[in-house]
Amino acid sequence: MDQTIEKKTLKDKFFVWATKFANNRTIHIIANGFSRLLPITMIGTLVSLITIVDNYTNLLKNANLLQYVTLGDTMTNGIISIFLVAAMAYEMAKGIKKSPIAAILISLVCFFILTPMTSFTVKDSTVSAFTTTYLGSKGMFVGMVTALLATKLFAVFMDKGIKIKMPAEVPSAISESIASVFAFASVAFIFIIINGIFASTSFGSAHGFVYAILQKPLEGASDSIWTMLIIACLGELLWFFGIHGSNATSAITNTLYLPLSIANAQALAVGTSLPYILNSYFLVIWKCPTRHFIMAALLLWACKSKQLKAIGKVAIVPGFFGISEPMKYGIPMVFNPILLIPMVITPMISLVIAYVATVIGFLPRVGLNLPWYIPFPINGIMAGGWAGLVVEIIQCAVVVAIYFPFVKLLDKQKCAEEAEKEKQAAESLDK
Amino acid sequence: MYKITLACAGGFSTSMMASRMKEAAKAQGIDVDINAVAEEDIELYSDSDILLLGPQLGYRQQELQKDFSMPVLVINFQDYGSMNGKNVLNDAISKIKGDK
Repeated sequence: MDQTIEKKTLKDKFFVWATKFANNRTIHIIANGFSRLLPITMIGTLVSLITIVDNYTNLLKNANLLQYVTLGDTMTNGIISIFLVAAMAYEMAKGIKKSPIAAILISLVCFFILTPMTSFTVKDSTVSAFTTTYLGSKGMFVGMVTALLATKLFAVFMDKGIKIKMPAEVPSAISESIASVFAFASVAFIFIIINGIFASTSFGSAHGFVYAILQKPLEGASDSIWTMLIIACLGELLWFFGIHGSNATSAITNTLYLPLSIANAQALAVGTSLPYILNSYFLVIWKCPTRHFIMAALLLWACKSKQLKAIGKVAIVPGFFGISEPMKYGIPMVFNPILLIPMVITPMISLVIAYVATVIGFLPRVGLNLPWYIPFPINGIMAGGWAGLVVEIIQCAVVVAIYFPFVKLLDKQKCAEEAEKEKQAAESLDK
Repeated sequence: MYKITLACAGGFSTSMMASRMKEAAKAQGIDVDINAVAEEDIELYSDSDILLLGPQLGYRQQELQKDFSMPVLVINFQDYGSMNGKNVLNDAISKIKGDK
């Protein structure tokens, strides 16, 4: 009894922290905004798959069709920042209860105001154009901040902006329309000024400034395996407290790693070398989603406890597709000190194995967005061919070795509990 | 008819729960409309009689209750682990009835 009270206060303390963090409106909006991009990045992944297959068959290349297929990458990953602006503005508008379409439009206007244009001459006619540099992965940070800021400013001007007094005869729709036009124009003008300030610096534009001062150093931090291990560890610790870990940390993960994933995806689609080892696609595929299946299999086939066997039975099929909730809440793994250690260290060790394998050149870098529900061994093979399969098998062996003693210990405990219960039941029957 | 919506991070594990609940409803002859959705799409189902959150999303309960007029409940830990659709369905219905 004492123990449960103690756990509760610990949980409460953690809940205060986690709730503050994960319920923070901005963090939550950012997380949802990124998750809206999934279908778009998946188009890029499909194009990459076609390109990879075509490298062997050369069917499309010889028929001169590959250039059309890669449009599916150029118009998705290649200009991802535009879609990010729309998604972020939508989520921000939802969060602060304002018109989503107005938020999307003003945010796009502001984003394009900040994005530098070039002009050049083709056959005597002058062409003005956006280079795709800052519309793609390099513009994501500016896109995110622009959408959040522009939508917020728009809301402020709509709520507290100058209300022009109209005679009572003027229909209210007209004064509302004027207020909206005024808010649009004010926000756009603020961004025109921001752009003017950055354009007069040596960075040339807000994009140039943010990329040099923020995104580039962040990419440096992201390139360290330690950053990724800390994120993975945090995610599993949150699970210990019953909070969906990767969901709660997705705002951080995507801000740090999605631009790197997109850059890799683009390189893969056109067949150049992939610039980054660590990225968000790497994190998903190489923290060993198969570990949930392994855990369920251990419960089902290595345990004697009736309860654990029953949970294994419920959990084995979902586990095969990377779903762990039946075990998280059934055993439960939540608040379970025995299973905390393997739960936290298996994804971290898996990441280290894949990282080392990539650094030594054995495993190819990841540029495909492979959702976590793709089962073993398809996920490993898709991510790294036969080398991917080898790495995945090594990871699984290590996961089994780490989980086994802890599961056995748990089994022993549960068996003793069950025997005690049976004994009590038998005694009460005797009386 | 009861309109029940379940939500978790991506709508994956709650979709398992939703199908268990549908089976239970069928067995008991209860007319229900049960959907499992990702957290960011809850809005599309804001006219439900009740919103049930997977325990992994329990930390969002208070915030979501502020946003929606439907009652927001966190699914019981044990029932979620054992995917006990019958218990969750009955809890949800008695909550809906209690509110009316």
